[in-house]
Amino acid sequence: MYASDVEERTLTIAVSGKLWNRSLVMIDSQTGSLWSHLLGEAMEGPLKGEELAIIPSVITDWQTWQRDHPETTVLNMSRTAQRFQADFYRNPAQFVLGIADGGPRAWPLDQLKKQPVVNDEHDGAPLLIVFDAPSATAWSYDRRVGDRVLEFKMLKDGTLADEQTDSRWNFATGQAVAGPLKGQRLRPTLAIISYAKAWETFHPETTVWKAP
Amino acid sequence: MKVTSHKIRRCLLVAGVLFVVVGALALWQRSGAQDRQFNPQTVIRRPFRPIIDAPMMTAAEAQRKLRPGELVVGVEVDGHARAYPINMLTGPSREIINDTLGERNIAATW
Repeated sequence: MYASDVEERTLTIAVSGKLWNRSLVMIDSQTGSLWSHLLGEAMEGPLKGEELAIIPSVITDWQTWQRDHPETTVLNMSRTAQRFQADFYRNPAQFVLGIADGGPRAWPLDQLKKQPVVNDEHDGAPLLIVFDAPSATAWSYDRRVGDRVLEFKMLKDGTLADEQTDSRWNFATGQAVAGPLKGQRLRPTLAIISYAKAWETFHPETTVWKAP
Repeated sequence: MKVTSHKIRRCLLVAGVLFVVVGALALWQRSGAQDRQFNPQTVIRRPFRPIIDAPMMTAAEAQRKLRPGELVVGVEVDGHARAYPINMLTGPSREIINDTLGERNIAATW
């Protein structure tokens, strides 16, 4: 999910018909620059070197999304595929949650399945990764609230709690729903879901998290 | 005798140079320099028509149309939530939706 404004200009972006390292190359109608889909960077043309800002997004199933976003609007076009159901991740080792900014780091979904709550650090920021196996969803947040750095754990009943204040959190929205921090909201990271192979091709220097 | 040792020395020199060149190539490849070189292949000659003004539905309509386990890309901007069912984003003519959410212009893709 990208912002399409680059330097005061709103771009209209399309599929170029080209592939680079087996990955989509995008083109903008305004300048004809060619953009790497995975890197979000213009590789050729007048805007070469410019980057599209990532907008935080999540890949989840419809019932999980609409539960926390009852007012959501939804794209209404004909389906061009049928296969994208939660069991799409039958082989979760093929997919990673990845953050490119500040030195690429990836969290393979099969590893997250083994340890669904990860208190990690990346580029000087403490991060929380939560994986929900039934909906095959990985959420990631900055786990700082004000001056405080929180550590999270999953309770036996499947609710997320922080060690410091024992507040309870909705991991699908990052919002504290009970306890001293009720109402606080964690900031989502700019992580994306990617094929593990594509991630490694485009970010050969990536570090990879493994469940201990 | 003299010629033979000269030949051996030359062989060693050539082997040494080869070793250094092969090593440098291997390092260069590992550094990802080759991957970074932008050398796209043209699969289809003309770009696809960009998608703008894509139709949207309400959550109630989507509730009737979508299966509960169908994957969506969900995004929230300033309290405005929007979901893009991945089964509608598949195929080269559909992969990018130019859209506006809240005050932001976005290119919805995954």
